[in-house]
Amino acid sequence: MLVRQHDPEVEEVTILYTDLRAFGKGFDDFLQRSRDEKSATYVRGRPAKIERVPEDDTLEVFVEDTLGHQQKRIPADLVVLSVAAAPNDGAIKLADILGIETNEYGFIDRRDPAVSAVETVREGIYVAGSAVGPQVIPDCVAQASATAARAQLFLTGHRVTEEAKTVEPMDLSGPPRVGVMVCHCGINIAGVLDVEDLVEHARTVPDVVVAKNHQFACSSTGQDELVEIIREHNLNRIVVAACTPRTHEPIFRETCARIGFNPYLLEMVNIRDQCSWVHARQPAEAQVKARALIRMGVARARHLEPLQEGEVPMTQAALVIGGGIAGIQAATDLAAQGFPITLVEKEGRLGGRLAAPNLKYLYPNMRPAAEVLAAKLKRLKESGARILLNTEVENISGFVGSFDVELKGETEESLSVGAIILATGADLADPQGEYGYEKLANVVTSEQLERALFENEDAVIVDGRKPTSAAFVLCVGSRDPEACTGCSRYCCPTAIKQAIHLCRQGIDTTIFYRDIRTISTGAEEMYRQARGMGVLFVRIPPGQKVEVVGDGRVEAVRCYDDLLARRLEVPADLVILSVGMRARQPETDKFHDMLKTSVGLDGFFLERHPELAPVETAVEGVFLAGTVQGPKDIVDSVAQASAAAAKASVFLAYDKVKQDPAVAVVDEAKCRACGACVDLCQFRAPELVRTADDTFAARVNASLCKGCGTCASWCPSGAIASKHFTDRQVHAMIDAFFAEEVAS
Amino acid sequence: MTTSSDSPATKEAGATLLQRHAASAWNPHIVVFACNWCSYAGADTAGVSRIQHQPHFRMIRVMCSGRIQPGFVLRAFEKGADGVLVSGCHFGDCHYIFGNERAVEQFEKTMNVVKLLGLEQGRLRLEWISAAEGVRFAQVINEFTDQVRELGPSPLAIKRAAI
Ligand SMILES: Cc1cc2nc3c(=O)[nH]c(=O)nc-3n(C[C@H](O)[C@H](O)[C@H](O)COP(=O)(O)OP(=O)(O)OC[C@H]3O[C@@H](n4cnc5c(N)ncnc54)[C@H](O)[C@@H]3O)c2cc1C
Ligand code: FES
Repeated sequence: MLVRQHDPEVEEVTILYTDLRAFGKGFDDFLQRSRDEKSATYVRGRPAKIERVPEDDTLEVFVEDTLGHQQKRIPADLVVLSVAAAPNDGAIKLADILGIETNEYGFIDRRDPAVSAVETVREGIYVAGSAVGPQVIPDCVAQASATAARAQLFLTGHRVTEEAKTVEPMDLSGPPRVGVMVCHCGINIAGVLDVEDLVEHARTVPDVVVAKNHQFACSSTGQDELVEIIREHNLNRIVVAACTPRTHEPIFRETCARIGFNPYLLEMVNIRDQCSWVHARQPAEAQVKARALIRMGVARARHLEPLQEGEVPMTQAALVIGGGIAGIQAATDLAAQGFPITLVEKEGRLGGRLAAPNLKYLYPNMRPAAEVLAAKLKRLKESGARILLNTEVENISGFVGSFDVELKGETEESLSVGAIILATGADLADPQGEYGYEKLANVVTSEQLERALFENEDAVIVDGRKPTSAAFVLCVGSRDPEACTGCSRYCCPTAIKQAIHLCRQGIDTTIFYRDIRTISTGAEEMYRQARGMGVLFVRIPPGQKVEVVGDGRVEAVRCYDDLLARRLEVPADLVILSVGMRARQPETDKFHDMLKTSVGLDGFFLERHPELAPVETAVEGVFLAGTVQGPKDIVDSVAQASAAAAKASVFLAYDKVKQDPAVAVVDEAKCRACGACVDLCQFRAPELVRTADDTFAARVNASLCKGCGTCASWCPSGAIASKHFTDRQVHAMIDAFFAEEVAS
Repeated sequence: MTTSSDSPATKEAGATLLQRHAASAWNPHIVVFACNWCSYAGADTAGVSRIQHQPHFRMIRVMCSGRIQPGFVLRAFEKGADGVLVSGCHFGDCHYIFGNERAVEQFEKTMNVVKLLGLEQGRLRLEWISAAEGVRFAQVINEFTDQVRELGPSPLAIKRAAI
């Protein structure tokens, strides 16, 4: 897609593949979009050879398209090899020095691949990211935060409280002196926009005294340069034209604060996410837009006012909702650090899906689930977390630092907490009668088979009989572009795990799949083992479904096998539907309503940023752990839970939480005390008070105001200013947009 | 509002805009107001997923759609906008609970003034877009841009061009 965007002259992009393993959250949507937009042609097959065409010095790739059963010669000017991730050269040596172990490939071994998210074989040494094997960024980031949670356990009592920062505030008074920094963001911006031109343009905007460019403004050298130009040019406003303020404003604000430059005199202009990335095919128009956005940013900056951050008290306690493996881990990590933690579970037992009689053995090493759960519960007990079973959350109000929670169940109580971790898990898809489910007695879901294995692991009985042949159907209720459901990640390895069990009982087993996505540690090996044992893997062609044959009971499964290029009928007296995960209801709707945490198109809670903030939500103080955020398996749920705990502890460690000073302020001289704002505000921030000259006026309590600015728009006398989003600032932006454009 | 639309200068400048419109060399100027938590985030989502859309709009971010007062929209038209899009969170999603419900009331007031000014209703639109709806954001922008392009230069913009 990027090649196409950057060079529209590229006629054709072909991707050769074996399995399309788009397993991450939103990855399948992405794959679908690349197909819809015809960005690339996908050919299933491995190249046999690549030859140079002497006439025009291009290349030709020879491949057998295993779907169409054609020999293909694909002309190419460029061949890109997507090479496998391999361990670092120094990995084995490092492992030796640290006294930890590596696996057969040279990646660092985790203590137990089924549950240890970050533990190496040695206590006190933790591992994150691709050192343990190929990983996607969101998982690496979650693991990295999880290692922090582990390390914190050893640091209890030595925690740094408030760093006494006494930076002398800079004198920023006087007429605006604006500095502009335009970021290249590598080729992300500079690949589409002419950065030099933007810098030149910025120099022509009123009050701009300096404009510069930087390769990566958010890097440490970029930040240093920012500081330099502020000092050198005596700036009192700064405009950074780069990416979105939603992720990067905090970084630049911190730099400003470090040198005593009031952070509210910084303005960010979004020329990446909302310009170069989305208008790559119209670079000339994108340039015009970026120029206008910079003008608008400078115009707003000229009217920005310095603001002082307030503080509100932080209740140094947290609530964990849901007592599955994720909730257990999050509660343990936080309670072990000494924070008062309440873990609420709506059922009468802890463990979620791991609780008996759900899972018997866990992939990839077939460790008994009961053993894993018992170990986790032991730690939880030792941590001192308070556990409330058969309890549900009735209501939550308030904000980071002081959420008021009402619980209902065995005890009815109100609770005040500073942070909340959501770990309510996921539901499984309902096959809704497809593949004979609920019509044919021997069609079951993977969950039902797991229970049957739990009850009788040596001789599984379904519908009163011992099956002789079994067929798995993968991706039931997953990977449906209509419903925006992606890959559920756990189903491929789970089906293989279950197939191995059935195979061992002498049952002929076939797995019908679309792509095999054995992405977790040890899963690929399990896949190989299953094939070695004689489990048959049959690929379902894109857009087709298997057909279940039988009357009252399944007798066979039919499907077109595109590798053999013929219809296939496999006898089966047991069919297992490997069902995908779905957002849990009514929990998702309920907590979405109470907390205003966004929900993604797939129905799961949306993280603040897939890579930068995978366990945070956009609502400060609310974190996600486990499958509540999207389908995943145990080890990833545990990693995320520890990451959520680490992130929550950042808030809980302080007795105060910073308050955004961008609030509403009333000009008492203009206020006619009509009370409209008092009626309007959901947070009870404004109230009518008696003024010095014995009249009435509204006054906004800054510690209650959330800064939405609705009252400022509503005030009939124009007496309320919404700080940082004042009328003047917004008007200046509008004017700047049209300043030199309309005429053209 | 003083009508100078009959003066020769206005006619000429306005005619240029209209000619360009007729020759399809004209692109509308659109102001989009968005709330930080949903629609602005939705635009970022479109960015992260590289969902291409038309570039003739400029975004102004506020914290909540409840902040978008009639004066903002009217100023945009007055300065020459051909279309204004007001956007925020879906009902029930507003970060400040009911800010978007106030936004609807403000929007209706604004629409009445827009009609009084003699502008087509199609130049002003209200849309709810969630943080996840990158595709929808792009669709809304494309649809609205096409709609405004169809309407042609705003009568106020034509007048302004003459001044
Ligand atoms: C058939 C099957 C086999 C699997 N096999 C494996 C395997 O071998 N290896 C592997 O790694 N993974 C496996 N998985 C995946 C694994 O089970 C999950 O990844 C993991 O258990 C998710 O943990 P969780 O804590 O996120 O959710 P859950 O285990 O679902 O826990 C959520 C908890 O929250 C509680 N809760 C829900 N709503 C509320 C509320 N409103 N208030 C309070 N409490 C609430 C629930 O009762 C539950 O206890 C399998 C899954 C299935 C379905
Ligand atoms: S925060 Fe989006 S409409 Fe209020």
